[in-house]
Amino acid sequence: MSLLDKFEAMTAVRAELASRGVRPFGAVNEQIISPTEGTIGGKRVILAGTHNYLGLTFDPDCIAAAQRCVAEQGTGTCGSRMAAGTYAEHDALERELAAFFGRRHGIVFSTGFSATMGVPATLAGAGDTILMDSDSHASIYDGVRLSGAEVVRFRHNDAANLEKRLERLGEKAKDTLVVVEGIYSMLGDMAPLGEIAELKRKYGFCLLVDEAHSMGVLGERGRGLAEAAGVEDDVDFIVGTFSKSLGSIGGYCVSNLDQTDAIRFSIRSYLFTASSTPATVASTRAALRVLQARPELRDTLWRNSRMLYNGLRDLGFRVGPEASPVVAAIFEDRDTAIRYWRGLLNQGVLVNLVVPPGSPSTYSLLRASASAAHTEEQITRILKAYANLKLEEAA
Amino acid sequence: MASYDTCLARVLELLAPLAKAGGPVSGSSDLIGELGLSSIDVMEMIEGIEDEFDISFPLNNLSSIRTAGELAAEIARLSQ
Ligand SMILES: Cc1ncc(COP(=O)(O)O)c(C=O)c1O
Repeated sequence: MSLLDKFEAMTAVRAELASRGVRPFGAVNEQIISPTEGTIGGKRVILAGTHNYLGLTFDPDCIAAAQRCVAEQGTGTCGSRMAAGTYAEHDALERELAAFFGRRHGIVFSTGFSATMGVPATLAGAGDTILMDSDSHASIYDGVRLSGAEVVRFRHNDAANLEKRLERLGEKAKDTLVVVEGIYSMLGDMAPLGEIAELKRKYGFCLLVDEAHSMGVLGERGRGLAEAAGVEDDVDFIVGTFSKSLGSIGGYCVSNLDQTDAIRFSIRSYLFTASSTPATVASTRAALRVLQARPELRDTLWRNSRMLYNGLRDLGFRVGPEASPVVAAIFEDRDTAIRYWRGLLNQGVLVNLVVPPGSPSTYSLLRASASAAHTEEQITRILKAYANLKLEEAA
Repeated sequence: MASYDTCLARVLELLAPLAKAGGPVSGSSDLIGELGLSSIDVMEMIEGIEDEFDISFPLNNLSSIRTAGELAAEIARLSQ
């Protein structure tokens, strides 16, 4: 077998989708009209597959901050955080993030992936053990593999299964790294963080939570699931991204632990990549201010999320276990999911198609995301599009 | 504590209904290449085995396991 033969299977999948006139992975947004509307193939579509939870991508303050910053500080830093790429903007964002989360230390990364991959990859090493939820994001899977630690998955959102594995570890349990997410990116369900925090108090492990989909979404102040579950003191490290509720790009890690500075200088995805552009950081800082100043955005987001989730459930779709801004419809049959994806796009609704091995199991998903910027009328149109397909399918 | 033979017998039993190719399943059957299992099939089978044998199966060891026999050997080792 030659080096490139392994890509034949993917080439075949791509060709099969193309032959059906579907381009579910990488559909080109030609024109971005607003946080919730664009054009694809010259046609206006509702964007229901982005993670623009608070709808801040066109916020005037965020745009103005980025414009000012690019004019004053240029288009890029041309250096890593460790070398010449730390500007006053990066430094300020780290302080503001730490303050927002009520923690002593903050680290800013160029992407969410480099944070959520790099932190677990660095915290644990050869001879250590990591216990991770089986539905974890690809970045976490990559990070734990890179760490060199022994990696064991526990059943998704199953605290009893996690405890069984902690028991098997015996003495080693207290030095184990446990990794979970706030809201899971596939089914939109939340970690049983209260129960996991209780296990932490019993076994003493180190707890890392990826709040990528829950920052700005959960908690009275928008700090995420740890805040909502009232267990912030039990979480040692929070990691996440600016690419969802903050409408920007970049990642972070916050912690109260004094080792955070030493950890920062050990994370290769922090050290050996260029820092975010100053304009990106400026818009992120502005978005963090909006997130805190306008808690009503969270209420609107949740109203829209429930409307979408309940609507799909009432139409008879199999949805995830609980309402959240990530609203997944589950299809046992991949072809049906593809047909629905295309049918939605034809009706001007763009959602995400997830097929195995990208999905957590053998099923496929149509994953929609609600935004505070969606209007009630838009959600109604999205639901109508799903309903039409259901009717066609029944006919 | 389970012997290799016990583990192999159980693995073959679990594989029988999963094997897409339909032919006989033995210790030397390649799980993905020959039996046509997906990586998700393998992971789900392992989850069941973990409960049954009261073991935690590290992901690290998975990439070097190709056959039913190698899987059985790893289960036997982990249950020591
Ligand atoms: C749970 C989770 N962690 C990390 C990431 C990575 O973030 P980003 O896409 O901003 O790099 C994502 C998003 O893709 C995610 O869903």
